[in-house]
Amino acid sequence: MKMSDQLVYINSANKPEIHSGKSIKKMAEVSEYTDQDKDKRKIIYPEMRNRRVVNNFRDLRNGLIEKAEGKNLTIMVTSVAEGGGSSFVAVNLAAAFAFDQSRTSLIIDTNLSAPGLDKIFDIKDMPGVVNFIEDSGIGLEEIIYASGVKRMRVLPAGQRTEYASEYLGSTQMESLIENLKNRYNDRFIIMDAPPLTDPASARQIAKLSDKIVVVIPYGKISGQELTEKLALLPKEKIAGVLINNEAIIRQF
Amino acid sequence: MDIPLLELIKLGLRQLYLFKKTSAILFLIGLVAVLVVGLVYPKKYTSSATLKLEDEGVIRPLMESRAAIAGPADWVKNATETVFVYSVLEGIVKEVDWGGMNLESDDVMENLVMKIRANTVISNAGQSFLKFSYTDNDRKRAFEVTQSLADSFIMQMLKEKRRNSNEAFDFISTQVETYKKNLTVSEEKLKAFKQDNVEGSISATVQRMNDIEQQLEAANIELAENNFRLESLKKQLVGERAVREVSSEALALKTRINNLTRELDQMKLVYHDQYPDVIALKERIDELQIKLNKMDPGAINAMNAESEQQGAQGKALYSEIRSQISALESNTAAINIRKSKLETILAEQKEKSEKQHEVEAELAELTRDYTVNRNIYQDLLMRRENARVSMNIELENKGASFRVVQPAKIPLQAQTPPFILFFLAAPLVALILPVVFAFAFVLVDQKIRVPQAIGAFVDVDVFHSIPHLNSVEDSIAFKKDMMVIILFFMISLSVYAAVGFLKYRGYL
Repeated sequence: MKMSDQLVYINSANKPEIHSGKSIKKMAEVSEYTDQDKDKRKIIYPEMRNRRVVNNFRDLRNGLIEKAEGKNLTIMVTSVAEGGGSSFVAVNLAAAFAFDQSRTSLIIDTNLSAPGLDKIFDIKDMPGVVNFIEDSGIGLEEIIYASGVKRMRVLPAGQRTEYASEYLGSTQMESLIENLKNRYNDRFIIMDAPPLTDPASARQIAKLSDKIVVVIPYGKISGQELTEKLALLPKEKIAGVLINNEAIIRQF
Repeated sequence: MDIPLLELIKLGLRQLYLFKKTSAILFLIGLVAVLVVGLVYPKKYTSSATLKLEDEGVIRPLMESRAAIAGPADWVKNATETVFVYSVLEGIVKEVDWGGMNLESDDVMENLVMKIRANTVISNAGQSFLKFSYTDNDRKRAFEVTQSLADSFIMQMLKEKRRNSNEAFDFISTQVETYKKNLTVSEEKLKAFKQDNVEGSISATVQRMNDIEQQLEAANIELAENNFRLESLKKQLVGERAVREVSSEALALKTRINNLTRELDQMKLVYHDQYPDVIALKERIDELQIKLNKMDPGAINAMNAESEQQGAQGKALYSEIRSQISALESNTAAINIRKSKLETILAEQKEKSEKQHEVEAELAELTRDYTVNRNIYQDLLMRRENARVSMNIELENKGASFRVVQPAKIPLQAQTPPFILFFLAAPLVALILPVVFAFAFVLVDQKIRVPQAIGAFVDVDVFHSIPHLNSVEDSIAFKKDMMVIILFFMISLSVYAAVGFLKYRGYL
């Protein structure tokens, strides 16, 4: 079932609207992914077999909520190296937030040069961030889609572009995030950021976020590298790091 | 990184799993390697000969601490030093069959000598046993070299001991001669000295000195007495003389007056009283008379009373005193002479006694020299006899020597581990190798795998690690990997079985 067939328009008015908890349920949901789908896409769900995974993401979510002190956060998820699995972590963090029936989450693919969410949600080439930035006529509702996960929305990267860091630093990007924050006060925004090997982009996104989670792929980087990469980010925004064993590449 | 041991073990095991295929290959390599080593391991054969320190039996107790026989504790060192001498080893090399090597070449000879040195072990095999062992990859050679080592050792020992005791004896003989000369010289010196200095003993001299001092004392006392008597006599004499002087002076006056009176009378015969010369003369006479009257009446009495007898007596007293005085004076002179003689003698004696002290000191030294030389000489004489006894003992080979109790044999079994050991060890090594590799990798490869490793580098909160999610692809991949592993395992098994079988049958 392709998402592209079932676009959902949230609210065509450009006025910011505050939605209460009751309105969440009313949103038209697309057909949800089945458990098998989720297994295939490596998206967590509460009933899944691997308790450890789901609980660790819950812990991650709770830890972040604690640090939020009541506000709805904009969280940046990045990784120290390419293939670190930041997309995986970002998606599942968003999924964890969506477990709670009174919350929704929005995951934005801000890795404009190498979008990581395309495969997971089959949203390749769908209009997204890039489009919004390039074309001022496009509204928010046109680029936010349902994922196959209840109460979780996805904002794709959009067209591929080479101007990733420029776009990310643009005023349009700023206003995009601003708008998103204002419109949905019950929504946790998670941004799947490019790895820290692209420091320029990473920094731009860091500016737009409240908290940063840095993903460390298992057995790939040295302590030295970690120190160097973390130094690229504003220290006070770093919520913490985690080691991603999911990213273990099958070694020979 | 301080990662607790448990974590490290988990990491190692996980790494082992991640290295599935690598581990399989390592397993095969390990297995094959051990088997190969076992097949080609060079065989080594060791042959040994045991020598026994010959029982000294009867002779030892007699000779205890007289002749010098070395103790068994140093035999190993002794033997090593004796046998490892290049020339000795050279001799051994020449005796043994090396399969056609050119022994003329210096290089070859040197290598063989080094080889023997390196592969020979000399050890203590009990209280008085010495064991020679040599290891080679050829049985016969091991035997030949060992036998040769033992024989060479025995021969060398005999030679050396003979030489040693001969040398010792010669040395001591020389010493004896030297000290004999020394002794003779000191003896001569002593004799000569004694002859030159036959003076009396010191005590006699001291006695003499005391004597003389006493005499001097006596002389001094006499001298004092004399002086005293002389003084009083002289006083007497002065009195007498005074009297005598006065009386003689009075006498002289009187005489003069008488003369003048005579003259006057004469004159009066010629001239009358108023003649000026007569008056003058009268006046003169009067003057003298007055003078005379003024004199000591005692003296005048003496003069007047002077009778022949008293005069004679006075004269006698005077001369008596005078002669006493001269007697005393000559006595005094004699005493003084005696005194100075005595003092001279005393001085001489003093000198003599000092000289005597010197002489005694020198005598003592010469005597001591002589005594020392004599003692040494006697000691050396005794040592020489001991050395002679030793030498004779050696000559008759009744001293310590070695006897072969267990001769060298051709070794039948190799010292090296048998193949079965390698065969059994191979799977163990093969199993351990990948494990060790995995763990070593984790320790050496300083990459972050666990949260505990992070704290050392940055100060951030660490969330729980996200475990691996097994997906369908993972299962497929896993199955593939397992196939590879099984394949390697099958290969390993076949190789193992094949080698075992062939070795058992003797084809390898």
